[in-house]
Amino acid sequence: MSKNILVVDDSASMRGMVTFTLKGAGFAVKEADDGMAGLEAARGERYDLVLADVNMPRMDGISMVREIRTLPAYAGVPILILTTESNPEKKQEGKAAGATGWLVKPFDPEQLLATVNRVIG
Amino acid sequence: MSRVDLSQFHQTFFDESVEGLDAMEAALLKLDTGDADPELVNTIFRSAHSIKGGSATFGFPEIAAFTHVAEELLDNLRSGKRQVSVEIVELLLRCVDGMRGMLDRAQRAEAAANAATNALLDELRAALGTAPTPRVVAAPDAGTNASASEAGAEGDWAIAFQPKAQLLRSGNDPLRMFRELAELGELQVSAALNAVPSFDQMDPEVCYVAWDLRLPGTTRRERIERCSTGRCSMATPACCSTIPAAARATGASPKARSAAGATKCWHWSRRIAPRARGSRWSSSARRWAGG
Repeated sequence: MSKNILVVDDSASMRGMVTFTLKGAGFAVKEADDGMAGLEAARGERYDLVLADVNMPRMDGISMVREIRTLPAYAGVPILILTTESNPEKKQEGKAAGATGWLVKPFDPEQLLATVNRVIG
Repeated sequence: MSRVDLSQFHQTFFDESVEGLDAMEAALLKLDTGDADPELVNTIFRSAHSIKGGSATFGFPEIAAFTHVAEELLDNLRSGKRQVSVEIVELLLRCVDGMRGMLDRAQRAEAAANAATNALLDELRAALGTAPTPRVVAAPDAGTNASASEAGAEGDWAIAFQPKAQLLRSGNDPLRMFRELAELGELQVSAALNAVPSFDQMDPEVCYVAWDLRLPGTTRRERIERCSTGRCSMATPACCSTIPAAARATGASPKARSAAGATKCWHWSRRIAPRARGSRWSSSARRWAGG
């Protein structure tokens, strides 16, 4: 059975690239276009991996990660932050919220797949 | 899995970027001087941030570089380090116009940056209190290598150094060249680590790293070109190749990069110790941290 990944990013082009790449590698993918939609999706189903942008409207990625971590089903689920922000403070903030990894844009599809496969492949 | 063709996402990127610029403009026009309205500034920042990320991901490095500097100014407003002023708003509105033009040219497969956007970058940097954009013109010979781009009458030498994969196998050491360059003047180096694979996939004899180097414009070009990696000099085509800025931004593997003149320089100015360390680009190759 294929692994299920939740992709949360307010950029349609980024979601498109990530989803296309992951589906091409055999993963099942659910998209959400902001933090609030991502949280709702996580509440509805347990995903094997969450990929989350940081700067999003309605609810930013860090806040979404913090909320997802309160859900019992997500106690051990890896959550990767995808963002252009690479400063140490943001990373610490992400880690404190419960993120387990960080992939900084720009990344190419091969880098994305290599990281996802290492996490849940 | 065959290589993903990112061009299939370009139109979506262009469409959402135009929407983002519309949102930026509308929010800028609502900004009052003084303390920035957090919600308005966040809207503006998010739009710029998305355009930056998308343009870097999909192969439009000039747009990414421009937006990055604009984003720095917006971040200063967002954090309260700067207050909103008529001049700042006016500059940012002109930047929105500048980015519209860049997107338009990129859609037509033309060079996104031009003299006007370079001038805007200078204004942004002045507003941030940082150095102006070094002026770079096309590298002289696409058949040679990454050697220094012409700096013109003013501005630093911007050197895009993209060794071929077999550089290390032939007994060359890039750091030797950096040490020789550092003797010529204040050397600034940024490393692009996008093509570095995971450890288990890495061939220790392959050079995966590219560098951007900067030397003061007063340095004589012929002295730069004599600097050597050991068995090759910067002007030796066997060891090095030029890379178009777009290839670097997409993180294409060294073998995928074509030999063409480097026409633009990156604006990183981070200084390093004699041993080349990764710049902020090292973050783009960050792997699963395991918590």
